[in-house]
Amino acid sequence: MNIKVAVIEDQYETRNMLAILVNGTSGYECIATFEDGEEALVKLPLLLPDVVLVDIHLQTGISGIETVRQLKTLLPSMHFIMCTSLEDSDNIFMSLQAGASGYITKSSQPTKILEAITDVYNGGSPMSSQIARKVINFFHQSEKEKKNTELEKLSTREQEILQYLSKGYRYKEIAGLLFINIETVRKHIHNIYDKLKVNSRTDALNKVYALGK
Amino acid sequence: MRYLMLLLLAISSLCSSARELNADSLTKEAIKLFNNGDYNKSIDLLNTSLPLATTNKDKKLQIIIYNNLGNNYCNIGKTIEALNSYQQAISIAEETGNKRGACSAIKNIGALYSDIKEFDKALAKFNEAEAIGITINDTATIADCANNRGIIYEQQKKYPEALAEYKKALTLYEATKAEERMAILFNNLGIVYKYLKDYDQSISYYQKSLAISEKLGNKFMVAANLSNIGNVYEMLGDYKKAIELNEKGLKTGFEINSSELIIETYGNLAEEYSKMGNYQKGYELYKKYTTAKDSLMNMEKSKQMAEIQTKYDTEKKEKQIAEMGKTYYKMLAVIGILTLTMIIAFLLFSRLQTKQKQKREKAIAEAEYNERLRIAKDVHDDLGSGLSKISLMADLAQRKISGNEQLSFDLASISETSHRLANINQNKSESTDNIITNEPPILDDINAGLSVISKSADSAAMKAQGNILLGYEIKQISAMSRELVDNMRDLIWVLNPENTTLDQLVTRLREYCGEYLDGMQIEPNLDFQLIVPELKITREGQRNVFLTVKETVNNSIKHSGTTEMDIKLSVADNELNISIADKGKGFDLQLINKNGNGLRNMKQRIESIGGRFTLNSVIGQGTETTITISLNKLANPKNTTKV
Repeated sequence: MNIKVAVIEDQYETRNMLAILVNGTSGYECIATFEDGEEALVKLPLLLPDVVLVDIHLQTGISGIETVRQLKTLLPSMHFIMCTSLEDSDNIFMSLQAGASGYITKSSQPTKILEAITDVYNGGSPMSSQIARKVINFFHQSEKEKKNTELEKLSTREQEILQYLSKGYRYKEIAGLLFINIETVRKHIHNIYDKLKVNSRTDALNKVYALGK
Repeated sequence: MRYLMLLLLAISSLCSSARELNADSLTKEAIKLFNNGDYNKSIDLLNTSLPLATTNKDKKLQIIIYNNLGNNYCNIGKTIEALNSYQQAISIAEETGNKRGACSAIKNIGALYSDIKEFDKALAKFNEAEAIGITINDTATIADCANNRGIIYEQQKKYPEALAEYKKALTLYEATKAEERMAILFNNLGIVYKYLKDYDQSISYYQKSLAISEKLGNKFMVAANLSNIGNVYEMLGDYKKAIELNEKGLKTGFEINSSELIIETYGNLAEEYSKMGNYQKGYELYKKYTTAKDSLMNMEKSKQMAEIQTKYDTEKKEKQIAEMGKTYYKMLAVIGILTLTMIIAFLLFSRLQTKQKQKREKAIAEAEYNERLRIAKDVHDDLGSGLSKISLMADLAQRKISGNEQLSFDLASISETSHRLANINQNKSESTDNIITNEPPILDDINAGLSVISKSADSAAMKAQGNILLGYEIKQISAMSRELVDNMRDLIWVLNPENTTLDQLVTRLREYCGEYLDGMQIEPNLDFQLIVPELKITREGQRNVFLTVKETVNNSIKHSGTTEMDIKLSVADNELNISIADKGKGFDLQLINKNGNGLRNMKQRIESIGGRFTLNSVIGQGTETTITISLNKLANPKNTTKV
């Protein structure tokens, strides 16, 4: 079955190119493109793509981050990948808190973009050293303020992985150092992402989710 | 324009049923507001009348309210709320056996799906609504459903099916003498026949629609039909006639102030004039078309903004009145002002004291600024030359193709974007300033542009498969744009004050080497010391070390043909040691020293910050580069000399 992809990007050329790239590759299908967050908020709940590529800097209307926040609340099982021109770690970190599962730079090679889609679809999430540092700080801060419950705390393994990531190690290397499978590393990182998310899910909307299916 | 008609059908049917039921005046008022486009107020009013209807146990009215709430939500883009409202309407209607109400709501849900092009779901809903319509003999609904299905089939390019549905709807409307609907249906039939290339039939149907619309005085429909007929003439090659009709349509569009019509006819006219060979007029009209389109979008946005602002202002005013009415708050205000004055006095005093300190800080900041300026200038030049290469290559590639319009479009977009970026880079005197202060606008602009270039190149590459000559240029374009983005990324990293620590430098080096070699299908052997001393380093040191390592690794991959790479980094005896070794073909150092600009630059870079750069190469065995620099020199700007 094809991975169903949607694109939210205000720039006409980039939007079209992304759609062409996705549609031109077997195993992927671009089912919709949107110019702004508002339109996506209206239509995505009924289209239910698997993965949504979201421009972090939308020129008009609500921001890419806000779009993800609202959509993730409505549709917890949808995956979001942020597209940025630069690796802008502050905004990426905010997007992750809003519910995104990954990010890519727009100038990445086409294969990288497709890889990111597949990765995220399979439950993986990428994390660079800059982001890892921010994540460590975040948990350090909330630990100090005693804000997190047991569930939201990082496990020892997760902390270890974050330490290596923050020093620029790749997943492959971390797997080797910790004698675990690379898939296990991915799963841990995915769990870390989950613990980052600011939860505000509402029950009322699950009904609609079912209806859209 | 299509959806508008669809919506019109849904709305008008609801309006008429509301009148039939002699509904509560509040609801009537709300529907009026809806028709005027005042959706938020309409929702407020409906929400006020809803509890009234509930206490009165007026189920019929409740259904109407929910249906109208749904329509309102639909128009302000709240799909979820719209669906919920329609669902409520259906459940009450089913509970009370009100089939007409259920029917409307189901049809509305269908329209919602149709709007977002979920055609299968929409069709199912229209069928469901129609089935109920048949049991209660509701001809209008049956016909509406047929029409709506026709619109879907038409979008799916299933023209025979679309025709059948439209004709079915038309017969029913004719039987009930619903003239307004008949006009819409004739228009729809005209569209399908146009797609089927049966232009005579198409024109004749449009003219039927036009005649009825003129009789009814519906200017919107009249103008739409004029423009539609014009389009058929355009297809027939009769541009004169097409222009004449669209001009008429445009005039009517202005009369009734319909932005939709104005935009549409401007677009048509631009096309027709161009096809006639009058490019200048065509271009003028195209500009008008885009301005009208933009202003419509802006108008909608500012309308929304104004609405939000008014809401906010009223709330604020109410609050203010409530608060200021109490003298207590007045007292509080006086105390506040007094405190503020004291704070200001204190601040003024301490400012005098800190002035001295500021002077010193200013000197440091100036040095920092100069350093940033130097870096920014570097990038500025780098970017300029890269962009001009890109545009040259795109122009060159453009000349090699003829007839491939799609490819030509991509190349034109590359060429245009690179010219535009070069302009931003060159003309704006503030650009360097912006880069230094790390301000997003210009960086974003340039980066967004570079993404467009690389994406266009990717797409052009897809289309140019098989054309080897062209393939080369396109590959160059995409490589160049990626390189520029990489350089920008390095720049941003260097300029970020957070990154001026030894630890960050080591991390970035590790990450870069890993990622880059991974991409080159080489498994690097990275031996980096995990914990390095906490140390603030100079921006120059950070940048020169990073760029030198980057260039060394790149050179090794490009020239040595190695498949192995050992990179070591350690801190010992208060010195940072980096060694980069490959097992490639190596080179004759003496030969390279004579004309190796790149190597000399690297050496200079490291020596300028007080470090040592050494190179060993054995032909047939490989090359090793080492960089050594004392931590003191990395941390202290005084020991460095500018290049």
